[in-house]
Amino acid sequence: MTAEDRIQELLEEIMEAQCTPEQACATCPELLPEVRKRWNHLQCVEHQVGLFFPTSTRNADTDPVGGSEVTRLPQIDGYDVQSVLGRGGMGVVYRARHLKLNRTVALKMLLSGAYADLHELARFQREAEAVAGLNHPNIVQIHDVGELDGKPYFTMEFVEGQSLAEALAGMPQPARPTAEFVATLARAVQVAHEGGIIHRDLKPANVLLAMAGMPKIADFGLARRFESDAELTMSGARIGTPSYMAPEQAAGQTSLIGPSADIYALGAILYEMLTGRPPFRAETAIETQRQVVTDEPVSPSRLNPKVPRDLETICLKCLHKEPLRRYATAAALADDLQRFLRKEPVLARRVSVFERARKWTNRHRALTTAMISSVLLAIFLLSAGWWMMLDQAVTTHAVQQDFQDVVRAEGRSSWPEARMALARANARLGDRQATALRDSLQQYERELNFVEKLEAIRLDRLNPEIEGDKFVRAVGEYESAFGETAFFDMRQPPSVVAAKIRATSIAPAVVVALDDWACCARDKARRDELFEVARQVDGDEISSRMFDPELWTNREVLTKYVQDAPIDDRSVQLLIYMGERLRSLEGDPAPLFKRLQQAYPSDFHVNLMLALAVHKNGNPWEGMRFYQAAIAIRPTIAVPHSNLGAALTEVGRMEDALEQFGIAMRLEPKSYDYRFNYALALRRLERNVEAIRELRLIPEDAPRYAVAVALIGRCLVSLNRGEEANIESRRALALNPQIWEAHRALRDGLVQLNQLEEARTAWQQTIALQPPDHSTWDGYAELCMYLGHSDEYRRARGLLLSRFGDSTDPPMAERAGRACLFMPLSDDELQPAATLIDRALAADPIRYRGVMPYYRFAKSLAEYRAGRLDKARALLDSETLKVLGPAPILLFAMIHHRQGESEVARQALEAAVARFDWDPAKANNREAWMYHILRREADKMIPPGGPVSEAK
Amino acid sequence: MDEAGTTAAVQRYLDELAGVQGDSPAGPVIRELLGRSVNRLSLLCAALLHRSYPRLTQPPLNLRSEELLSAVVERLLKALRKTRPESVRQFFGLANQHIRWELNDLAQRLDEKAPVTEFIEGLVPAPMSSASGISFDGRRMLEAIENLPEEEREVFSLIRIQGMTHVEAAEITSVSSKTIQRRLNRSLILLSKSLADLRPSDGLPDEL
Repeated sequence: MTAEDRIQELLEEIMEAQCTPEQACATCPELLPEVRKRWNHLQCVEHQVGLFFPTSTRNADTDPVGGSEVTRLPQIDGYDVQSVLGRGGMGVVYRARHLKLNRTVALKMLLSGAYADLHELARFQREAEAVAGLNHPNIVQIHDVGELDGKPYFTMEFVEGQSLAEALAGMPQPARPTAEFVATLARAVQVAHEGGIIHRDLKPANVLLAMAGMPKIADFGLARRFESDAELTMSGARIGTPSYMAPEQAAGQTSLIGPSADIYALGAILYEMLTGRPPFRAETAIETQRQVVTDEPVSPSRLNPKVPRDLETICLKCLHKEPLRRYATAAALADDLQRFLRKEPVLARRVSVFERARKWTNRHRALTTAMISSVLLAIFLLSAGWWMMLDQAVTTHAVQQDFQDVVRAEGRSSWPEARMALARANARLGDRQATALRDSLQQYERELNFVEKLEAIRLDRLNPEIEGDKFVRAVGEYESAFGETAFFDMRQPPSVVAAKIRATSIAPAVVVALDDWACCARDKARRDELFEVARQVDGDEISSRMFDPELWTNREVLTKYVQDAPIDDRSVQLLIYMGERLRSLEGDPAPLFKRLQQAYPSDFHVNLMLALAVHKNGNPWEGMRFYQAAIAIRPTIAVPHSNLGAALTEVGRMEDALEQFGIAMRLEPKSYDYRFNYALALRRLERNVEAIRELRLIPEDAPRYAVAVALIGRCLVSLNRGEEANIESRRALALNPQIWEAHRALRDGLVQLNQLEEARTAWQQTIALQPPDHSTWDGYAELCMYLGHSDEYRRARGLLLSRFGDSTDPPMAERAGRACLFMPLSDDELQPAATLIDRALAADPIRYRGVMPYYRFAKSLAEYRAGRLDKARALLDSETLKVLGPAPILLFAMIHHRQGESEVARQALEAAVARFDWDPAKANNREAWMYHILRREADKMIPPGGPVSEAK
Repeated sequence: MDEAGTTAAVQRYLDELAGVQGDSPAGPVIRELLGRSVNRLSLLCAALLHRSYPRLTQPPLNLRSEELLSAVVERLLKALRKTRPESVRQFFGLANQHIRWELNDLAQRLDEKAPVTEFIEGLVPAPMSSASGISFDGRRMLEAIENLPEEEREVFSLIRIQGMTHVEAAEITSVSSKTIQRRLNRSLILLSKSLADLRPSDGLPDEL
């Protein structure tokens, strides 16, 4: 017999003998967990079957699932269990007396079957202990946790009195005492939240009223755990309703359930106290659940006109569907309630007229669909040819559903999802003759195209590669986008345009674009006009201060303004723009964006802007965090991926950076900037061949084509393909002679091919184009000297010292200093060069241990030029003589020659000559040039000796 | 109704239908039986409507189950009168089947509220999963009932759909009450098995 058969048999046994899973599995404990799981599920199904197929009352006595709960009182050590106080789906509550302390407690025992295994039990124990740690006059104190025959129980403070649910009995309460009452609850909940405990099931039935009406919250954190799947079954009826459940909880998004779920529940309690009914209540739990998730609550003042407006605002803020839009903490709710009580302005903002309208439209659309369906249903019931009707009705209905999905997705700015829904509708329609639906479909499509275009304009501005004034460019793009659209004609009066915009499904996105456009516009009349249209669509005023021209142009004024500008739905877009403007005025927008991000943590643009701001402030690590947040919100937008790649590059995570650039490129395969960045990342990883392949895909009309060609040249140089490299570099220069990359590639290519004179010219160009950067300079002086251009060498030396004389980076200081010493020089020049080298020598000897001999060589050369021969000689220790090929020995020879030891000098020179391959064809790097320079000097100084000498 | 006499009376009526014309003393019995089936169907339709589609019963639609049901019930009556069952058992079998079909039809038509979840393959990427709560739907259940083995389906239908007592069901199917109970139990086990995917999620996440 298979385990499955056996399980089935055991289930039958449980049903037949009406025993517990534990009893049935007495002989096969290994099957107990599965049997218990199946039994719970079976009960659940039985309950559901009962809902649809009620058992006739005549069968009640044979109902297989019946309450066969033991009624005798349990015996628990240390307690005298006195009576049953109540029963619930999860267990029984007894009145008991703690024998030693002689105090009355409530003892709640969970029923068998309500928990699953030892692990669960242990978890229960942990939680109960955590809750027991809560000490607050408004929270029912947990005293003790235990277990009796595998049934967990806990004891708690015995509260005499009724629950809030009983006390309310559907009667609206006066506003001020209610506000005080809920504020008290909120303070208690805050304490629990601070202890990391979330209630999860706050409702009037869980608020007990002790003496003098003092509220005490019961069942903290413990209740939900055990009711999750037992509640439907154990007592045959669902205990409680989802009326007080937060939408994310009702929708089963357990990962989102946090403190804000409790804040929602507090709002629901406030609502019920004000109006006499919970915000949502339908005939069935499932329907209530649906309402909680999708419907907007009726304003309390419509149910009870006496509800003050501010209190209603507070209440509705708690009940916001978005957890992030509720109060951030229970304390914030309590504070706002206090403000109300003190008759101060509350912080909660009313839902704007526009948002209300949108919500209404959504509701309205759903309603329309329902009405259409009902009409169809009626026709169907009357009609004989109902098959065809049904078929059409089903399609029509499904397409309507798709349209609703489009609108919903647009509400979330989720364009790909909206596209998906449209594609679905389109496929459903097939080749049907449904003109009206098809028209709607096309309308939605046009709207979607338009809104995507608008967003692209906004994102474009974030692309760091775009040259010129981004704001001017944006204005131009908006002009043409709005000019091309057929939805509305911007030349018409604002009220007409606004009405037309309102009639589309994309009004919110258009308003955002209008605001953005207005912000970018230089022309004040234009700006006012655009704001006016936006205002008329939206129905909301913006602070007129925002239009003050000084605000837009003066960094200090703007910085100060945004410091404490109020943040709300309507202003957020403008504030984002002000942040951008602030950045273009070279102010620091990071604090503003931080504030915005705290208020709108799930807004894509806010996160992206904050990331850019902190990234630009030199903090790639923090930038990465917010880029990632932005990506999490809108994973299909290329900009944050690309910027994340840049930040990763900065922190040296090249492989990860490459991946991000790759994602950006794939998201926008037509934007060659992303391909270019990807190629650049490949090049950084020395994957030159792949980089070249990507760069070759960039077409000639792409803005950065010439740079791409130059980069191909550099890749080819790295691949040691100098000839090909120079062709590409020259091609790039022909396209644009100002491209530094091309000059540099050409220089490197020419050096590689040993065409040094030409290389020097290219190098000069490179230096002329590039702002101070030592790597561009490095080697130029040596090359000039090597090629015998001593005047140019002197000029380069002067520039090196003036540019890099202050350098504190040890390698750079040493290079720059050393490069100055290849010709005798005046004290004025020697001094700064020597200082540079001293700075290098003063570097951390551990970190720079490997290069110290090089630095000593440079120092020795400096001492030699200064005429301090002993010092110079002493610096050439055995370590130093081993580095830089023949250079130290050549120096050694010259020192000895000047000290009169000609023979030693001559031998040293010979040794140095033997130590290096002096073939000029191989002199294509800085060190080789240096060796040649030093050797020429030594050759000139030291007369040739024996036949070994090769001196020219 | 005298339970013990039901079967005999129905059988007599059925015999007459097959052969003899005209009224018979069994007429009222069969009318009552039909009436009972019809009432039961109305009840189940109403349950379905209110359980799964309460929104339609509220303003502005104010859909009342009676309005919906007249046509459905009409069809059931017609079907039961037209077909000529040979045995009592067959009679109820037919009644059960028709009731299930009618319910299924009704559910299908009312199902406008279900969110559109089907996607055209290959056209669009899969959507993000959206974990939904516990939600049984009537159609799934009817389908599962339809797929029960013969014996279990019969007993389940007689008792849960026709609303008979165990004794009545035992008489019609000529088995003991105990067997009826056993089959009924088994039908529930099988149902819970085939509806396993509707199992509520296993508890909440680990954080407190």
